[in-house]
Amino acid sequence: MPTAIVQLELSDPPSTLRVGESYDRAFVVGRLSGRPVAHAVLSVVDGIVDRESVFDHVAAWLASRSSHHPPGSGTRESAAPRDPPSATVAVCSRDRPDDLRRCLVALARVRGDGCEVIVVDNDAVSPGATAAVAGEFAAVRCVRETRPGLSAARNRAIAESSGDVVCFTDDDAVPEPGWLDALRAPFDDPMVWCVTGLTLPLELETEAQELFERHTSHGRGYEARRFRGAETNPLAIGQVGAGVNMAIRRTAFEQIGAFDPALGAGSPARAGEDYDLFTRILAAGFHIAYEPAAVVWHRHRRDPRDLKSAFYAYSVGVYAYLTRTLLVEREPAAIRYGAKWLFQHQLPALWRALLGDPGALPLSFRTAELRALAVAPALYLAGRIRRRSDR
Amino acid sequence: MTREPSVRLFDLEDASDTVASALPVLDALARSRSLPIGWIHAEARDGGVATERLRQQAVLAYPARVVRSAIRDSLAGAWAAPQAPVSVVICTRDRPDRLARCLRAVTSLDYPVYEVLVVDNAPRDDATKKLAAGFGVRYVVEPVPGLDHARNRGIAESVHDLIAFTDDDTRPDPLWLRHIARAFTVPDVMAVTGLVVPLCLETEAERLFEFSYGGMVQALDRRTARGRDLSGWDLLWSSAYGAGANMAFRRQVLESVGGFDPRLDVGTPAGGGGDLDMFHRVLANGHTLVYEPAAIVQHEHRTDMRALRRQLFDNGRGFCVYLMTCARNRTVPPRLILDFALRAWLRGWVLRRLFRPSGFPRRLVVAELLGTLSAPYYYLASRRSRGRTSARSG
Amino acid sequence: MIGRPRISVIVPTHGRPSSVLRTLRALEGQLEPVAMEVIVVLDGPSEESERALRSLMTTFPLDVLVQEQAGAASARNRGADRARAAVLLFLDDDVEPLPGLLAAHLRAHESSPGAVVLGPYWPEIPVTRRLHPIMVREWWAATFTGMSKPGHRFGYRDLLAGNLSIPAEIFRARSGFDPAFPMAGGEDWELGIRLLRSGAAFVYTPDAAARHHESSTPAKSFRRARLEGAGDVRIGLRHPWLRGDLPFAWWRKAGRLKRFVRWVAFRAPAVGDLAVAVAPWPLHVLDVLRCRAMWHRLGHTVRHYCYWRGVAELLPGVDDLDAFLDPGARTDPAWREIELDLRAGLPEGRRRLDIERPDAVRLRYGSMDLGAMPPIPGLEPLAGRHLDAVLETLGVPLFALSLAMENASLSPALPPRLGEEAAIP
Repeated sequence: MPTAIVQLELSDPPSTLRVGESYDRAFVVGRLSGRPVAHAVLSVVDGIVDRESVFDHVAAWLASRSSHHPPGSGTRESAAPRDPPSATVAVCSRDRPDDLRRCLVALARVRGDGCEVIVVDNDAVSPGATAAVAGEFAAVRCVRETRPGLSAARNRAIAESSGDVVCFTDDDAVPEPGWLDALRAPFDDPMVWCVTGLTLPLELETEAQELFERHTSHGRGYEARRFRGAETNPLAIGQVGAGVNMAIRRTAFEQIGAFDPALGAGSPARAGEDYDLFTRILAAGFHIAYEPAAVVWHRHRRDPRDLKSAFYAYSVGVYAYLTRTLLVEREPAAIRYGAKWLFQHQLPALWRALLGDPGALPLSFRTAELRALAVAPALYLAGRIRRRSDR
Repeated sequence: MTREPSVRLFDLEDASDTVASALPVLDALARSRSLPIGWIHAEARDGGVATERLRQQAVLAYPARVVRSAIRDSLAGAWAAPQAPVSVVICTRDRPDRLARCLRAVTSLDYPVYEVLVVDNAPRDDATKKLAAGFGVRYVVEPVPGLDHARNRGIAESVHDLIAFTDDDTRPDPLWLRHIARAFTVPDVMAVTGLVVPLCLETEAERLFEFSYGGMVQALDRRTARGRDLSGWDLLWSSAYGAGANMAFRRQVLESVGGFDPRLDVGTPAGGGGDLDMFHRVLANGHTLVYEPAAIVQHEHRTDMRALRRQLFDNGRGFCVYLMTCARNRTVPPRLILDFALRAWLRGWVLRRLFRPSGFPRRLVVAELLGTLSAPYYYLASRRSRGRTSARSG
Repeated sequence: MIGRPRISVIVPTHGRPSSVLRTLRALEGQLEPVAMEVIVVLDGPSEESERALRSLMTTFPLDVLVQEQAGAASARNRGADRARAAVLLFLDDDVEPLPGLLAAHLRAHESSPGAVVLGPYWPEIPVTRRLHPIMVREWWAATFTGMSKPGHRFGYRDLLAGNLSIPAEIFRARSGFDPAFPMAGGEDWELGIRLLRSGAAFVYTPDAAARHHESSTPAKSFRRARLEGAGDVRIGLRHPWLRGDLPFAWWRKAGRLKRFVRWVAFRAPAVGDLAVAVAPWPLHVLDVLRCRAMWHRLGHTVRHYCYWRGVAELLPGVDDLDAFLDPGARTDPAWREIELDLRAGLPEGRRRLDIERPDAVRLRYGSMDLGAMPPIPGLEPLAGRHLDAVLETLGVPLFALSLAMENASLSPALPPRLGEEAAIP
């Protein structure tokens, strides 16, 4: 049974929260004066979200923000906002014109004082489809990148961009109108080189999407956080965020290099290019800010087969990223982090799958993860060699 | 011989000036209309504590919960009060004193429509029958000894669709049924459990059980458990969802998952676990259970250390017999139950406290461990005795 | 000459001509024209610097003063003596002002008359993966970010003289920097103490930004720690009431390793100094191997030693240290404490703090005691904007209190709809 996505303004909670009759659960996102505060999955009966639970959560969420200061009393003065840096929004797309259209429609509504939007057309199957969709939007510039791979496409976007910060989102994501403002605000601080935002599910219509949300949620919580390179291990980036919702100071690329084309979707390593960049930013001693007010809604894969391949890809990506970090960045801690992930996350999950736990993912997902460990270093090196021969 | 309750439920809205206390220290659970807030302990002077002081303590100790309860109360103000009729089933066995205390509370609940049904389990005399007649409540006898036999008899005899259970050594709060029925206003909720608060905290055994062992049911936050969202371990930790002293079900779920397992619980060799087995089956069948902490029942804990040791032995025994019953019923794969029994129960719960003491006496942990280890014997014994009783009743 | 300048820029320097020239060029390149004069004070004669400076053609009047080497404090005082403007701006010779700096300083003095204005000077550190420069950059960034928070309570250790402007009148009334501080080491903090005691307000202006061309190495940071140790003793000598709050007064209760390090600094400084001399090598190895935790521990321990070594320069024996820190030997200033009843509301509380500016505050809610914020020597008096931080430090659940104790309805505090619903019986 599918899960409805509902938003709830805590300052004005409706007495009844209605969703479509076909849903039996609701993913309820609470917001206070527009800022996301928390979410919960609640039961739905006959199209009405369980009122008791709604009120319980409304009270808990409001109280967590207000036991010391009443909400909206404006006691926390914040530093006077300064002019945000100019931004370029980059969307890399590959053979998904319908998703891209939805993303661009949303981007057209994003407040951003006429910032530049670049679509990188990375089509492989049906060349021209992406360019055709981008052409429907007057404010959107489309560039074609023939080298396959998300990293190559993003690097192209960086090269084409003119803003002080480059904001990335994916073609299967829908940014909110306030996205850009929230994502740009932390750049006030010159130490901040990267800002990541909150990613929430756009729809949970199929079981594959529900499983994806439950097991690999992009959500990184509702508290703004700061990751300081001088204080944290640069490999501790599990909570930082992901490439679907991030902004990076353009000067950073000049200093520490762009995305590694041997990582990321479309490369043999399949993923991990965002983690790699986060690690390099932290290793250089700069900050990454996590800003939950910058919300992007992501459409997870609908097809269960895609789900399995997404798990595999993510696993390969992580181990490939660790391989790169060990070999190229010379961080011995990569071994420690790889072992930690294997022993504290993957093997226990595999064990639960073996036991037939009803809450666990199928065994084949977990064995695929282990296969990923075996092949990822080789795949990463293969990707590097291929890149070198490309040049 | 029944003691007067010394633990208070302190309402934040309490308009009186002082709360009386016979003891030098008043233990109270602060609460608002719709939410328990937290424990406070205040020194009493001249046989009482100023409510102002209790309120101050509660606010300083639990500010977020105070705000939360205020917001929730204000939201709750808009709701229609639930009206669904409820059957209250109290199973008892030769303890008329305690039952009298329980019935006094149960017969004066703040709820419009409910019936009270006393199930007398294999009684030795007619004291209970007279007592029930005195309170004017329904009375039935279940001749086969065993709490779950009595509960099943209660289900069969009760008339309403919501059936709430409590024990004879409890004292339900006046708002108890109101909160239970409110949780049932959501149509897919099949079971509701509530908070169990001690009646007295005077002896060491009572305090140890409540504050070091973890009491019966202590969580103060509402929780909705949807069976099909739970992992195997979550399904098996069914003691986290409630206790038999404070639970309620829809009749239809009791019919669909089958009644209480008569091989379990007090009065059988298993010595416990009938309530846990029921929670587990309700959830494992994909139903929804709500833990509603505002529905409060006060329970008299064991007062002396020997009785407490005995109880922990029974807990260990009952829990493991319950796990073996789950394995037999195939509600979750048996290999998962074995994994749970060894890693979660034995290592994570029993042995951890044995080797890393946490203020809880070791010999009590040992009692629980012995109960655990003896479980297979009692499991087999309970299966044999089941064979006998069914032969007898057949 | 266009009459009296509005701001006198004073740059003390010590044999770094190229650095001073960069600062002067940057002053030349200010965006908004400001009537200024610049006074460069050469601390210790240097032919090369003098020639370079004297031959410089500038759009602003430039004075070059030369004195025998006597430290930055005395050089700044000398420059201030010569200054004609009402506002003195002290810039270090390795600080390169950004184009809006002068105008921003002047604007800050206009909006807060009589205030001490601090501007950031962000370190120019090339992007690297070496840990030491990263830590230096982080330290400066954290310092300036902390000062930029609206609820920040300034202390004397916030007074950094690298990019600082003071009304000349106030500077002279406090008779400037204390020349008893010979090298760069604590003279700015010491002035900060006197300014705060005299009731001057500190203002941080992020727009008055500059670049700081400092190339720090672990060895330099060890020397700096030593100067800081000696500087802190000098501060304690001049202001005995502050002794109990100097860092080394706290560190005396530190763990075993730190106590050992202190023992070495007092009893076996030769051994310790040798260790300090070779410490950069193992630090480098740890850095290359990316053993961050060990690098931090080692560097921290060595710096700790150097600090104590600086303390021991002026207080050679442990007995001297004990006598220095003896609380019986000093009298604290009379701290002003007020009592604040939060029942009157936060705005009222802020207003009272702004009027009374106490050093300490005791919070009440009606008859209920909520704890006290003790006086902290060396910090500015409390003001209204500090109240939120005080509430947070003491963990005062104000909203919960007003709900439960007053039976306050949710309506004024909570968003409108909730309030309305609460009114429904």
